[in-house]
Amino acid sequence: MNYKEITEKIRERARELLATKKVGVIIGWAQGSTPQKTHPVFITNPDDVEQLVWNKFCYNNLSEYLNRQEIRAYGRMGIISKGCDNKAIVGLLQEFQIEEKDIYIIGVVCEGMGEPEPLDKCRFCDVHTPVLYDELIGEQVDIQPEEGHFADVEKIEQMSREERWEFWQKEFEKCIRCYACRQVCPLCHCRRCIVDKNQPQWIDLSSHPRGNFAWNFIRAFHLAGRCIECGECERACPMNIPLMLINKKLIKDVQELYEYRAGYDPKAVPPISTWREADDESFII
Amino acid sequence: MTRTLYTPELCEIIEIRDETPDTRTFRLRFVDEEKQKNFTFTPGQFGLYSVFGEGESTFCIASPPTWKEYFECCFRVVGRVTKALRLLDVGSVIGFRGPYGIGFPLESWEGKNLLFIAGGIGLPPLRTVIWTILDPGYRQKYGEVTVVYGARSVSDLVYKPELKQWEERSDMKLIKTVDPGGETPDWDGKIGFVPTVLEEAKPSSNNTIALICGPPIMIKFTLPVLSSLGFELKNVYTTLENRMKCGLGKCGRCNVGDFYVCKEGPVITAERLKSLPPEY
Amino acid sequence: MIIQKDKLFALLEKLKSGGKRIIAPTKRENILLFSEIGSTDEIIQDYINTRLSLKGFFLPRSEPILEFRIHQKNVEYTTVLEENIKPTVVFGVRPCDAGSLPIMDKVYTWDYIDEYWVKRRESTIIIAVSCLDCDEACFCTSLGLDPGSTKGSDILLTPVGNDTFLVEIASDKGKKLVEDNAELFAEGDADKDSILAPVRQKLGKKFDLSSIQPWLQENFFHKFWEQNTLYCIGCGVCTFVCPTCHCFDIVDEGTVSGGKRMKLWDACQFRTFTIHASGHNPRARQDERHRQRIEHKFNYYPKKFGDTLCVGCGRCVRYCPVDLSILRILTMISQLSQTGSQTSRAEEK
Repeated sequence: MNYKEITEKIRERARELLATKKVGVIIGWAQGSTPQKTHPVFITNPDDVEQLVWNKFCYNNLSEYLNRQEIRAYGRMGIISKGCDNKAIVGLLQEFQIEEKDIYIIGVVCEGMGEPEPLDKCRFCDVHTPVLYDELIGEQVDIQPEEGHFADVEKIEQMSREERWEFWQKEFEKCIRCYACRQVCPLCHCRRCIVDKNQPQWIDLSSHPRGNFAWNFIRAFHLAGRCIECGECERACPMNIPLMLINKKLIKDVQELYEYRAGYDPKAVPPISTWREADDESFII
Repeated sequence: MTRTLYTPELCEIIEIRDETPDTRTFRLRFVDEEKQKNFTFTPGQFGLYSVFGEGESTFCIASPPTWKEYFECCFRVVGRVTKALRLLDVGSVIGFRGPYGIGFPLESWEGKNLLFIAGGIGLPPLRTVIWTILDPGYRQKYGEVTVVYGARSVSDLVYKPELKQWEERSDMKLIKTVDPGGETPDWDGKIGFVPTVLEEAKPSSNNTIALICGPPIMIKFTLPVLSSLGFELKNVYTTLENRMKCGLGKCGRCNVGDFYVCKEGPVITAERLKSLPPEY
Repeated sequence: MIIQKDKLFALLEKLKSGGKRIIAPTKRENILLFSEIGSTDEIIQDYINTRLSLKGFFLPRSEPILEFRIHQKNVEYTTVLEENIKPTVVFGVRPCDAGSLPIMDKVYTWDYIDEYWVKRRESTIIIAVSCLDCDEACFCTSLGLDPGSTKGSDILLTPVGNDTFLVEIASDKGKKLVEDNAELFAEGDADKDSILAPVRQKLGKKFDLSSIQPWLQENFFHKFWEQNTLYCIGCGVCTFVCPTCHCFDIVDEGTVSGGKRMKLWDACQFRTFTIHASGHNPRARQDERHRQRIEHKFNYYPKKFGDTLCVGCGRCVRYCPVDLSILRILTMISQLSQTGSQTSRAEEK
């Protein structure tokens, strides 16, 4: 199926699901302000489904909206879901942020986003067909992930401690603390983020080195074993900070230490949420 | 020392009173005696009170300008700054910026009766007006003075010793009430919600200004009662409580529509309030 | 009057060696930003606009305004305010960004003077450069500005080809700068209008500004806001990249023995912006917070200060992570105002 056919099918299914009241809202993408952009859209009226599109620019991870009160108020949420976004739904289910009965997933087979070049994450994607769905649009594709998934991380690992420090200092210096990285992240779902907690003020709000390091590291640590690699934080960052380098480092460590990859199995217990008697505790003492 | 519009003055806490289990009054005096001597304000104006290291918080000046030796604020312990304020003792110093905003137009009310309606911690912004007009220099300028004050329970009433004084005075009338279930065996006031008690009291709207301050739910149900008593919205005043940082019209936080609470408020007529978006 | 590019750079070098700080568009970690230059070689000249506006040089992302030390019940504090700000020249400012400065002056001098803003403004000279190109996010012409407008500039340069700039003096500061360095400037003229004609045509007029404020005044409760702005994710990108968004926070940081009171950029799009300590939030929904941004820029600010709080630089359109384009919102409002659709307060929710 081509993009046009998939778009038609999405619209058809959205119309049907809304008309039969199976869902109260369809979360999808609509044509954006330029041909190279789309924006998220919430369709509640079957007559509005023509707004929905599927193309190479459906970047946004719509799973971000599943946890928003204003959207939940529409009723059961139908969501158009490509593979990487889909992994976030797995995470949200694992962490009891949503229940299966609250959502209806229209999975879409995705051949990769971005044009002319696919996004970096798409080159290493192994979920062109979503993991979890109530129905699937598109035919399964056989696109193997490229080699060298962690090559960029390994480059940083090979740096000396001093070089790494200098690298990150330069990157974090740019941070303006707009929190776009947090706001686009479907797994940053804390009702009150630690940076917004002020009794005590755990993280300085100023964008001096101390505040910026604290914020960027804690954001990443909170995603250890949870980040599903949708890359939205890095894409959203207005200052081009390579946030996925940190996230991928944690993904790599969790994979090596616990043989766990987030976002593939809603029944799996995430390693950072569990505990074994034999776990190494030497780092605490 | 270099000063900017954000530089506070130091004030010493000279007395602390607990009004309710979570509400506290500070009596404050500027460390700089000159500042204290020259400190003037209009009832209804506010200040930004700061605990160094924790930040600033906005409260009205709760005492009348006729008290020259000190001034007071009253706060509920709920956020970062108020929790820090609560840990301070007599003799500690805090920062103060103000007075800011526009207070009540007392002069334009001369010759009129005044009806005060307050709920819970809504009394402090009206108390500054009440004590001002009770001052011998002011009292004869105004007609009848009536105060209707209620709280959830007896222990939630603030300024209890002053309520007693007001009850005993012959130049004003106090009607005090607590919500049903909030009374104690020795409670000698009314039992009922403020709007209901006000309706029963039937104060005249003739030549009268109403001042109302309290939780939004109380204000919501009291305004229709005032209307039924014949009050015009332009004669009903309240104060807004939007969150502020600068208090000076710069930081862009406190606006309700195009009304900057810090600069054009916090005092506002119900008539103006009705024309604004409900973002308060 | 004209100036050759080599003479212009010589001027910047001369001002620099005379003790002035020179700010210009440079590449910093792969993004184009205004920053202090060590040499004119660092200046980037081929650009639509910088990632961040130059507001950070007048209203920094974060800056201390007070320092304090605490000993038991004693507090000592000092105001932090740079007394002798290094005279600064900002080169390469686009007319939209230059135009934002006089607009912001109004709020920062509204009855109370914000010395931080005003002192930096006084010690800064703006050398703007007209735009010969734009992208689809630019919309200055829809706001009464122009790729060659002099508003807010001290000197405006328009590239006229052959490494030559047409020089327009736009203020007394600019006049003095030219007079003090007269040897670098030359007699000459060029047809600015014909040079700017192609970019003006490309920009066009994207909406009718005069229709926006009346519509906003009538349609606070319109379904439009929920339908078109609820997908805002509530980050601070639009406000932080914006040259006219000026809201800030004041927070204390430090330890029990001392610290600093900081003035920080803040954003009306953050949930925490208006939330009370009690948990009550006057703007509880994201579409309400987004409406505030539009209302502030196109209704409240014009009402209070006579200026629209937007210069059409397009940054928020370019960098919004969910493509919630203000240009699209304004275009839709402009269209709606012609159809006269509105929802009254009574129909709300």
